[in-house]
Amino acid sequence: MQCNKYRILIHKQLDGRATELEIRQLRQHLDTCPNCSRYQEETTALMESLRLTPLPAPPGLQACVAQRIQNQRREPSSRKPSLTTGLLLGSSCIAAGCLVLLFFFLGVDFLSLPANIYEHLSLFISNFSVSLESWLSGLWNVWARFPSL
Amino acid sequence: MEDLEASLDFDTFVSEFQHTFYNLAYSYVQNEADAEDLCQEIFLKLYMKQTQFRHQCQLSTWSYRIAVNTCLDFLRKQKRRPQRAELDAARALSPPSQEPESRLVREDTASHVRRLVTQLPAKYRDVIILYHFLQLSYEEIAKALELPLRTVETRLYRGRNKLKEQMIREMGGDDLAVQQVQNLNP
Repeated sequence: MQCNKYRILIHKQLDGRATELEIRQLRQHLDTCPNCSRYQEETTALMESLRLTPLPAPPGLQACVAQRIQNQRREPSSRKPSLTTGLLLGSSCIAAGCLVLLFFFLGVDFLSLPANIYEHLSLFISNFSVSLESWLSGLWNVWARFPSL
Repeated sequence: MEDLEASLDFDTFVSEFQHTFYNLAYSYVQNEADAEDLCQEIFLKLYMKQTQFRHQCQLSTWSYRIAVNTCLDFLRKQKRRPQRAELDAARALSPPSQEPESRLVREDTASHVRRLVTQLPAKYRDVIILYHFLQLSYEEIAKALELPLRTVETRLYRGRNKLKEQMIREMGGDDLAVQQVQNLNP
């Protein structure tokens, strides 16, 4: 319907985004369409209602923000433990998974392995995980410091 | 707008944007106490995330994006409808020279309008708050909410229509324009 198009133009005009041609076309339509004229009045009134005076921020807000930032600075490692734990767990899973896959493809019979091999394996997984976690953590720190990379 | 990571003092940034973000927060939560808490959350989040600013847009646009998301997270955590606006906050909306009775009429209208805006569907509410309460342009809103420009236009159009319907309904079907004129000229 034509009126829909002109109602959109009314909003465009009230927002100061209508062209001269669009404004002329709109005026011509409003001269002949009482429904759209009424719609324009209502929309103008609505826009006026929405023109509210901004509220001032509370006087102590800036000081409170500064205080919260100070408190946050005193806990610099609040995120690190969870990140380190996550990296360690992830690295352990990767290491264990790689070993299982390796044994699977080599066709190793787990039940025939000597008991102390599992000690060596767990030590290997632990050392590998720590190394991998350090490597990933270092990468993370570099990325955080130079986010443009 | 200077880069937060550069020599710009974060305090200066807070000073420049505190009123803007306070109004944004108040638009969502409708009471002073929560608005202040939420505003602090916004600045804290901006401070913590400043290293993540990639200079792919203006700092203000990036800030508005984080601010709006923080407000939405806050609402989700609260899981309650916004409370009625407090009269003492609305008192700041009218010039002190007006008669007390007419000031109350204005306060109710302002609080009423804010409340109705918060009750809109989220997609309309956000654009109306950013356009009408924070005076952002269509382009700034599009970047802040990561929407196409056309979508912003459409949502503003539909949001205003919904708001108008709600206002007319709450006024008992009276002519909105007449009501507005009466409120402005008691």
